[in-house]
Amino acid sequence: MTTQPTGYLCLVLHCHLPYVRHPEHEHFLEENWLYEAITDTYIPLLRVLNGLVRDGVDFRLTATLSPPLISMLRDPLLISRYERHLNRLIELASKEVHRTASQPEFHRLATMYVERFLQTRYAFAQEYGRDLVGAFGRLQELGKLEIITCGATHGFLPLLNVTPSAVRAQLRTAVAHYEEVFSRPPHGIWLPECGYYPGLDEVLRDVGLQFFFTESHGLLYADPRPRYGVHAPVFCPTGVAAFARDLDSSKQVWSAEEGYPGDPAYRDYYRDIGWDLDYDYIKPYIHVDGKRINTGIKYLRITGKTDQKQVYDRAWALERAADHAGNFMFNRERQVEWLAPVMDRPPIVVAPYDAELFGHWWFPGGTRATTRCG
Amino acid sequence: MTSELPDRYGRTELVLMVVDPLLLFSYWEVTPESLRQAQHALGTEMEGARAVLRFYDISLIHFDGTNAHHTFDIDIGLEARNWYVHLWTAEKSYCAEMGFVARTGRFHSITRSNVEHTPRAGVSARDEERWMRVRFLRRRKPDSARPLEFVPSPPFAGHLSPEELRALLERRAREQARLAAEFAGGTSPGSLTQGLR
Repeated sequence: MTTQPTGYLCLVLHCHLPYVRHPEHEHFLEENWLYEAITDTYIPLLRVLNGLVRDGVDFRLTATLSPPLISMLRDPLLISRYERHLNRLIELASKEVHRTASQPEFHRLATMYVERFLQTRYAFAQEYGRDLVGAFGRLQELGKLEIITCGATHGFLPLLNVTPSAVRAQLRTAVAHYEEVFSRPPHGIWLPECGYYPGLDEVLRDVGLQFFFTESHGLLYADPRPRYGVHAPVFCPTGVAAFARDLDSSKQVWSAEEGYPGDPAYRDYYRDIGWDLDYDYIKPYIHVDGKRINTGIKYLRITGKTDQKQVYDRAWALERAADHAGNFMFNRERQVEWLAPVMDRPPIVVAPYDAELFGHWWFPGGTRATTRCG
Repeated sequence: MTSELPDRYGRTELVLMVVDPLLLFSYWEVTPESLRQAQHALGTEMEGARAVLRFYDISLIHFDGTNAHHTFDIDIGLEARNWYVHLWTAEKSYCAEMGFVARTGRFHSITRSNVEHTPRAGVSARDEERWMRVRFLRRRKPDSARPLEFVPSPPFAGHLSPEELRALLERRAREQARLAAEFAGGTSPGSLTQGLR
């Protein structure tokens, strides 16, 4: 006997990267965005979600996989370059283990990095067969993940609408591409940069999309005013449904001052050994032109508003992440409890985040937050 | 190996785009032929004539060229090729004409833009919602064979009277709108990391 839930939490992870692929260069700096995201975000996310499946934990998650990102993740050249990148990273991390042998705090972290990168390589090659899109697709087939689409090149539709055929092209191409990749049509779409204009829903309906996500004020400022604000979806006149972001849940995560990722325990993204270590030592692992860049190995934590950064303590950070995840869920439950009695239907809290936030800017955030919500 | 986008397309046009409720962006191209025509039309009045964007507030009407609610001119430099235009009221419809205003006041229009509608800047004053039933075939696929149906609104739930509920939700909406305005200042990962430094 199932009882109706008090409310819903709709967690949406928006996975998108601009399309960068330069076969004419042996190394191209901006391709690193993809490699960093695969290592720090997509593979950890897949491992956590598959772990939940293995453990029999039920969950529902929505994720955008944008057409440019899907294309890159399926591109043989970029995949082989990723493997090259990861192998270099393992090599560097191994050197770091050696270099930090007499510094226990750093040595612990260097060892963690080597293990982590080795696990990443194993997951990438053996568990997912170098096909991350397929791995996400399998989670969708299991009914745990709903993959939604995005504009074909992430074009901002309200401005592209100067030429209406450009909008149709973005949407038709995205839907066709999705069908080719996942062997079924997409139901929903994350509008690029949440850009909506009245009339866009007609084009969405024409390509078979049934719902979209937009910004909070997309619903809040609707005319007439929606009775439940952002806490219930609203139909456009065409029957396409609009979901809008809940600001309370966003603020907790996004705010630089009040949000979780700014906690002093978390890893500082900018203190990378690519910048901090001796030039001759790090040269083989940074830009071919000799410019210092991020390597992916970072030892320091945010600490506070200071340049004197302390060493990252992973155990502490994981504990903080568990606290924050618990706090997040606690606040969502209170929020739903507040809303439910004044609504005639279970409220929904739409909490979208750029996937790269987890793992990339906010290092342990992905692991713990997703586990808790499951 | 990379090809640049062309600077000119060989046709005269003026395009308006909405940035936010109180800001428009316009860009244009004027061919030499259009300039010659303007010169020919104005003759001696071309001396001392100013290039302008003439905006027409055409909210909720069918514009026939003469019936705008009001107009205003923005002096521009033709060579600028684009211009931001600040407005003072949201939720309006505009089109614009690029042209020359002679010292005598005579206006020669070179071209007219598309029509743009600026969005609302806040919560709507109207609260009489319309409720619609969408029939679904399977879990989520709307049944396109059945037309969309407007239905009476459901009764207010819970222990609150309709007025109390309305006031409560209005307060929530105002809070959320305030947060939305705060957020408008930057919610991209870039701005997040500025704070984390």
